[in-house]
Amino acid sequence: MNSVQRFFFGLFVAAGFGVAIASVRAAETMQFDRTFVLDKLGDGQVTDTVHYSAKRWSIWKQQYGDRPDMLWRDMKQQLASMALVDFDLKKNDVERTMTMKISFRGGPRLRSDGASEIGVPKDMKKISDSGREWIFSAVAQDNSFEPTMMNETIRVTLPAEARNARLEQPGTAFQALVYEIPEPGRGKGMLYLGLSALIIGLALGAAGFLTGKHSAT
Amino acid sequence: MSPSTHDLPLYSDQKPVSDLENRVAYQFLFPFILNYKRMKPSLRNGAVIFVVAGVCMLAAWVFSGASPGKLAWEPPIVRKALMSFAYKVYANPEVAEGRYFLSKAVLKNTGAGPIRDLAVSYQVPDYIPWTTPEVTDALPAGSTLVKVFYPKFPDKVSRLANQTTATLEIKLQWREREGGPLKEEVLRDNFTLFGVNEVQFGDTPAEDRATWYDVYSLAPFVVCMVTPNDPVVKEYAAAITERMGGSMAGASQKVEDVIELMKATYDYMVVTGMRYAGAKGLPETIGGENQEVQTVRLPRDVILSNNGLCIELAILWASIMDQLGCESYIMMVENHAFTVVMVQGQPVPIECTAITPKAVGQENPVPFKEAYKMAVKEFQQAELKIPLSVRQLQLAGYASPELPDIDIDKIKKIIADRGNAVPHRDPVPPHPVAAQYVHPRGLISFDYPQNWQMGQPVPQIGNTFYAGDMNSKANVQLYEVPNVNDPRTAMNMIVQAIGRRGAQVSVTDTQAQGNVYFFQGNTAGPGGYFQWFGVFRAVPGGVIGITLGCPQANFEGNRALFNQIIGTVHFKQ
Repeated sequence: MNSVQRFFFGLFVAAGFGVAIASVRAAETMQFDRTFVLDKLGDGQVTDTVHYSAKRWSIWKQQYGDRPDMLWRDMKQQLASMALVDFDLKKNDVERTMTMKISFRGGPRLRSDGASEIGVPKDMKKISDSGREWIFSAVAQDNSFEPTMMNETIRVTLPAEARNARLEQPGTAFQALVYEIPEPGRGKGMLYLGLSALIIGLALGAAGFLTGKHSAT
Repeated sequence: MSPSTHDLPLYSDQKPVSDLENRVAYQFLFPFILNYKRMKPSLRNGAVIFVVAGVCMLAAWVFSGASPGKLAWEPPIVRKALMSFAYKVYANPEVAEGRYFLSKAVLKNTGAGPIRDLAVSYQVPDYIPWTTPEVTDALPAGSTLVKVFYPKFPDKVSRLANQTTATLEIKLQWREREGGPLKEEVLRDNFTLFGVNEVQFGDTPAEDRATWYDVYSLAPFVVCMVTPNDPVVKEYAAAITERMGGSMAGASQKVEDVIELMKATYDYMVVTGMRYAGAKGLPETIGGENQEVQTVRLPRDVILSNNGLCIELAILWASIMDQLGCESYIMMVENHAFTVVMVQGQPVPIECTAITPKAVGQENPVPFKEAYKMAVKEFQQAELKIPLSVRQLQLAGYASPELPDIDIDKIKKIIADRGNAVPHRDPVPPHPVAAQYVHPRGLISFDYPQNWQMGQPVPQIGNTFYAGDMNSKANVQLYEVPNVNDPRTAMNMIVQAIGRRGAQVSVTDTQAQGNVYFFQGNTAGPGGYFQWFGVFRAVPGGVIGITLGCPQANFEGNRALFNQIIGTVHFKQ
């Protein structure tokens, strides 16, 4: 499991699923939105927006909202497959909404065939894709002492250089968003110019030397 | 004299021209043909210039692509300690979003060109040989590669009796340019492997702890010690069900069946001499600021020694219940742990240590019902609690260790010998019913337990009196509905009034004996799911009656008490 999956499941702790305190068993519904923007090096930024019920908001604030250091520590554990470099948390007590931004490096997995791969949890369904932007959605349920439904939407924006983006093995545990970045490096202009000059030079040489030899014989 | 036009030589020199030269010259090179002979030196010079320029450009192209990559890294993060009984957890990147990795290495290419053939592998000498290298063909300049290690320790690690130091070695191999020499580096760090009975409840650094939950950040690992499939646990569970003549609790999932099974389990433990093993006769501290690692034995060891600490008994209970098909939780509260069995959405807790009366401040044997009440009280009063669902967590990867083989015949004999003990009898009499309610106008009177406390009635629904047990939530309520003379109509009005306040009441049975009506039903609301029955009758000015109810999980346990109370009801004739 890698980046998106970790983000996805990481939400449960970030949302306060880790501890059930009260005993009310009526199911609550929460909304979770994530945008995941990648550059050609596999670095990028993720932005989470979670809207909580009143009770969840209270729990979340106790666990993380008033202790961003603990949330940051927790996210670094959850998102182990990436190198997290920056963190920002904003809370809106009126809307009971938190927005968390994390910058990371080394998000997608580099496959041996040169492609980049982002694991997508099996239960996440593709809603749409427009080449660069892919949208997935799922409904998660926690059935412990605190039944909670969570509507989740994840938007993945691939780098502009991404080619051949596709969803591999959809609907399986190995579902993954895969794309390729053309290998940067040597431009072909110098190669073509050099080859052209060489060919022209050889042609001129043939005209200048070979014909003379032929006629001399 | 000037020569004629056709006598003019084609070339400035006077050499004869071959047929081939003529064909080429006329057919393809006509525009230049007249000056061909004169251009020959220029062509040769141009050829040299173009060839040299071409070679230079090709060389520049070749060398521009050979900028080397440079691999950089910080010291890998290595977990300080692993619990050996949970070795399967550390091997599984799916558990808890992969947070329980042994190590994490962040590699970055800080060079100008790609790094080639980057291979990463690791070993833990004495436990894990070098792993198959994970190879990245090309790591582009500026890119970061993160490697996280989830080691697959062999079963033998769960046989470690004491903590020991192990070493993680990470091998990096790479080329800074294509076809370049292979470079290699081995990074090392030590970590601790705890003994199989050592539980680390949390790994939050002391300076980062702010709440009780921070101390128990690794609490879910306790579920790894729940071993329902251990042959020893199976034999123990079989002895319990055999003693009660079989149990359908797991299959039926009926509240009464599950409670019967729990009672049989509790009684079996008492009868067979299972003891709470706390040194002071009180629930011991688990975890805590100064006790991050505690020795906790697996259920088989608790069964064999026939004693256990609160956390050990809670784990044993969970193992038995799971083995018999019941969903259980280990409830960790401040300085204590007990088991909760979940049936039809209702939690049924049990104070596991009550098998030893002194553990719960009693002198005489504590019957199951009291042990249940104690747990209910703890459950309700604990502000800090962590419910660990055995089923959910084990499905999520908190797997039990592979246990060493054991002489099961010997176990059977030990268990059978214990089963010959004298059956336990419930020594506690029913609740004393001593307090009495008398209606101000004498319309109704009834008795109720003197230890029940008066509660705030809700006149908006016709409720004018409330008394109940704050722990078990068993209660009696008086209802008065004026200006009607049919108890069924009165009940409908009460149902509607309660419905308007957000709860749902279902009347499941109605029976009449003369003027007296008996009702049974249940109520689902924010406070939970209650079962009740009531008796109502028309009196001067309306209908009056009482209901007796409690959470469905313990309704059967209270039925005798409720019948006692019903037997004391007197209506004004």
